[in-house]
Amino acid sequence: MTRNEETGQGLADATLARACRTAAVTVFVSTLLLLMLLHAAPAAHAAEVRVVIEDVRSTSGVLRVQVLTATDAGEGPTVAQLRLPAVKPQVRATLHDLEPGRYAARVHHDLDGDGEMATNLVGMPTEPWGVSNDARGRFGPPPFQDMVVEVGVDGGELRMTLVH
Amino acid sequence: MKRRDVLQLALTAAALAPLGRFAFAATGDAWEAAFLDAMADEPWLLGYLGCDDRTFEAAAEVTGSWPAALRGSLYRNGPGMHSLGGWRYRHLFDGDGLVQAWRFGADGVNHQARLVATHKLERERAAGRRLLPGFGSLPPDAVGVTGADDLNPANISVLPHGDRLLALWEAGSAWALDPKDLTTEGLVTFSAETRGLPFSAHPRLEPDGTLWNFGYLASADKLVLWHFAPDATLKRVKVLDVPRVGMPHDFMVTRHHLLLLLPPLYPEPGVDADTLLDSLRWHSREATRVLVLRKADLEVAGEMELPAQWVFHYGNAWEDEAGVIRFDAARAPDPLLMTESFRELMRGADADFTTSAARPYRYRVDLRAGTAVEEPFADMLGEFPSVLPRHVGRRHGELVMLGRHAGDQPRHDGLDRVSVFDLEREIESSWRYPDTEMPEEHLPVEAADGSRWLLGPALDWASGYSLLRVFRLEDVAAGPVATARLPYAVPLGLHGRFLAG
Repeated sequence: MTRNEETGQGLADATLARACRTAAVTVFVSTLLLLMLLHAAPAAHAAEVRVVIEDVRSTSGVLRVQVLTATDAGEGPTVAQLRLPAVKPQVRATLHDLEPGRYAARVHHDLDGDGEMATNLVGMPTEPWGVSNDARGRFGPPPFQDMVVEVGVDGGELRMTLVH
Repeated sequence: MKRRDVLQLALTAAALAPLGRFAFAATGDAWEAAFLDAMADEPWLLGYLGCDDRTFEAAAEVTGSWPAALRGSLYRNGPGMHSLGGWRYRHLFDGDGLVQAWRFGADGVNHQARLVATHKLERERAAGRRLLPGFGSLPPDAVGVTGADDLNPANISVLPHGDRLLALWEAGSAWALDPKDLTTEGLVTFSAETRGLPFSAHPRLEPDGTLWNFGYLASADKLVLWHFAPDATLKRVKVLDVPRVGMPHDFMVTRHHLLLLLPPLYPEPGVDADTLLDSLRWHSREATRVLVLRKADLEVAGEMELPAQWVFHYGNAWEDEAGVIRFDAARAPDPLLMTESFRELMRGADADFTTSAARPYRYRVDLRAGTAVEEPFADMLGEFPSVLPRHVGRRHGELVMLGRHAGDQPRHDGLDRVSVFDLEREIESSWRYPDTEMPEEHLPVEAADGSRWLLGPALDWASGYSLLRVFRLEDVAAGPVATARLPYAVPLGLHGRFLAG
């Protein structure tokens, strides 16, 4: 895995205009967060979605966010991948021109910036992570449907608290 | 158990006050109410009432002749707080860890006890109610979890390690405490790649200071092995794939091997259970596997089979020149004590504590022949086996256990005597506790001058105070040489370690 040498820049409240509407820009790799890189259809009505990440405890590395659509069957196509500077204690970003619908998000605080989710010997994540709605499983990964947020024409919010 | 028509001893409000501020408060929880109701008839249940959110501190009143050379600290742990916000846990093993220190110094015997400030307890304190599921309890409106340490109550055992005191659970990380005042320092991470790996409550400390431990991941069928140098630095960690590993509670070391039994109790795949306990199934027709691992490379050296059985605790293992391993254990026919009785106990229900109780057994494992055999060595109930620290992994001359003889009829449902087995001469010496006391794990220890003692905590449930007795290891039958008594009752604990000095 190549090391990502980019450093975080920009404001904490980064506005990512028309971010990543068509395809992923940054390769976002993790054992926890698997991707589907698919093309999203152009929006008839554009909505604005705020991405809020809480309890950021370190300015090291970057926050990697995956925003994806939700279907009745589960995970749909990924519509955005964000690479945000780590700012304590909260990081905000805005996605413009999303089609109203159902979305979910995951975040990985890539502390060492190596592009991968660090894990212990049995594959449990050892870098901070979070999912929208702060969904939690009982003894396993959070159920995807619990992560889903409705976005209307007035927009919506994908809020995630980091698990350390 | 048959509820006996015991003389109902008046538990004074003064005796109960330290244990639970809500003891007689109205509560909407049926289990809390049922337990308090049962305790009125069975006052020994005081040992399982649980404490409220407080610390304990007192100088003990010593009677008899405390051995001058016996200086140091006996640290103990066990589930302490069973109820919070009027809701009572549904299993004995869920209460928040209450770590105790009995300190024997120039100023006499002093006692201190404090709840481990785990992540779960801090969250629940803030909420004023239970939030996290436990091993066998699911509180109303429980929150979800992201990993085992979310619900880690650090409530089984303790281990002095380096300059820290570790409070141990078995399915998650160790918690570090300051041994001087028992305040909580935080979750222990030995290395980045081992963060969050399970660290069992029964590490084995060899006489040279080498420390071994294991951990199980029941749902992932993995066994973690830990090896620490005498200076407490982590030397090796290995994760092995072990099908149906289940939830082994204890293990053993010999000169060249690590050894553990794998009883056929493991989570049923696909079962949508409320708790881990509810997901476990007992496969009585399957073998209990004996897993032997080489210390040298932490690989499997052999796997033998024994009849289905449940073992919480082993005494000690050692191997002879021919490579034959011998060990002793407290062997139960099945895990019903844990899966049923320790659940029923929490609502004070009549539960059978004897049918599935453990008995003293000894085993012989021949790696070359690939055989494992077992036999009972004393006709009695027996649990909490322990040996002198200098005998861990070596041939041990004596074994200490709590016991109950067939004729014993104490006025409580627990074990009622402490036994010291002379394994060479096959002689049992024991001292029976007064009817109104329940003994806890007794540990054989050595004082600085080499004298050998037996440290015996107990609860006098009739009077409502906890105590610690000291016996001569060589003559337990003569009774205690000294007794240190506290002005309060502490919930019955599980396991401890003595640190001389």
